Amino acid sequence: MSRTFDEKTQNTKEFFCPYTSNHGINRGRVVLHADLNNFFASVECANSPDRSIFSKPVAVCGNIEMRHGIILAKNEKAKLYGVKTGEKISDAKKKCPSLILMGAHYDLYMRYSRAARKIYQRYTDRVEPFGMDEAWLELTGNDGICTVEDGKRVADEIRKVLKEELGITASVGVSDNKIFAKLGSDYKKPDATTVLARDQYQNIISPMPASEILYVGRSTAARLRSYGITTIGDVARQNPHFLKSILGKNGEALYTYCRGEDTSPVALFGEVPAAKSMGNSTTPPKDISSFSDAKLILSSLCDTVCSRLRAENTKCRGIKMNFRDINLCSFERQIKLDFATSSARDLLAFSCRLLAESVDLEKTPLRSMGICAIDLVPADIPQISLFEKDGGKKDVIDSTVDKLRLRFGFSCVSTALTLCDREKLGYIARGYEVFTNLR
Amino acid sequence: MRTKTYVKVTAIFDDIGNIFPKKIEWEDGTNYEVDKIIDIRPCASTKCGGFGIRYTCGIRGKEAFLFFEDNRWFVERKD
Ligand SMILES: [Mg+2]
Repeated sequence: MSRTFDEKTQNTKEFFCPYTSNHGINRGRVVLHADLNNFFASVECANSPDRSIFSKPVAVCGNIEMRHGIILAKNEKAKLYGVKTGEKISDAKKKCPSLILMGAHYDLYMRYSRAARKIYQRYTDRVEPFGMDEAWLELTGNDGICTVEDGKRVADEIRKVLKEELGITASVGVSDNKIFAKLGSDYKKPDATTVLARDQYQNIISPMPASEILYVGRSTAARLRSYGITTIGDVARQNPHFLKSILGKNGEALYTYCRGEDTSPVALFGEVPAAKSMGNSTTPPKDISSFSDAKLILSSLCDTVCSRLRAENTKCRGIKMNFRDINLCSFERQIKLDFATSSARDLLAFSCRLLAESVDLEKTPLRSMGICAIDLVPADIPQISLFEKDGGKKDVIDSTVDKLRLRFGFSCVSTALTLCDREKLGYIARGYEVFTNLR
Repeated sequence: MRTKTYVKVTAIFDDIGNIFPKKIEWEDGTNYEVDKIIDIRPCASTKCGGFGIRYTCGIRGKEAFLFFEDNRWFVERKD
């Protein structure tokens, strides 16, 4: 059988994909992708002393009293009412008056996240977290694991253990590569195992929308659609040079993904930082019209972002800030640091500088503001800078703060600055956002 | 209904890092000796929420769960 790259043939539905053959490139690999369902909401329910909560619609939101609070996560029951992540609390309440609102508890989510990763590590040391609630597991080469069907057995066991030990559910995808494993965990939710590998390629994977593939965003999907390419199979039967010409370098990667030929290994646990950037932003109840107010808010944002950086054993070498002013005009600015840090004081100092350079608050107040730690590196690589001379004192302070928070909760320690006016903060309206880019 | 009740616990930390509860002190000050530990496993508390290490303890001829969760101990108290 031979394949033709002639564009005219692209509408032929059946085509030969080498992935499905006996010599497919990922043959013999077994990869899982575990996705904890409705993570924040599930954790709030699992941790709630009120056990009737499981039969009620629940949403986790930023500060409930604040007028700009938004929905961060919802459970299955709330989904039935059409409650959506990112929408205003007031809108969600209109759709579902009985909606139970819960504040966000990031230290709690981190505790569940760490516990889930520990469970995964019983099965393999190759556990690659993807955000707080997702991870890939490479089972290839494990004793008794030869086929995706063996992988399915392990996936079912992991789901059972997560339920017993943590009281939360997961969707797990099983395949022979990371991309289709992720596709599998998205396929059926909640609490399900889905095998999507070469036997499912022609009937299930190939007809799926290309936008289901990891990293295919709205603009890429629209670009593809304008060429009549809508399904994974459509992408797989294109000429790779053509895809490169319309999508750039990502076109090549996408071609590989859609043909089941992504060979990227699952990283050893701790080998890579879980995310490429970590950010937090807020829309305070009052517009931000003075530098001191802005500093107060930034201080709180930097604090949460840095706790997260340290929890993930990561430092950043850059800061990106985004602003939305009262005319709803959005813009972003970024700054490169010449050292790596996870210190909230560093982030605050540099973000204040960036803010002062970027915005005239008296002239145009801000409606919302966000900070994002970018260019992340593992924390254990020593970083030397001419400008950083305090010899690790900051690290000692920060790790002490983390230990205190681990024992007594996030709000037990704050910078003196944030004690002045909690009202102004509109505390953590959107919560952590974990941006994970193509890697 | 059960209530998640945090309790004071006296425990033995052995030389390889195991933790064994020995005595539970109730809110009202009553002490309960842990006569034997029947089972130890990581487990979610289905009755009160949360998760940790669950110790199935023999106390005064009865079995009770004692959870070690995030550096605190709790029992699922009957209302
Ligand atoms: Mg999830």
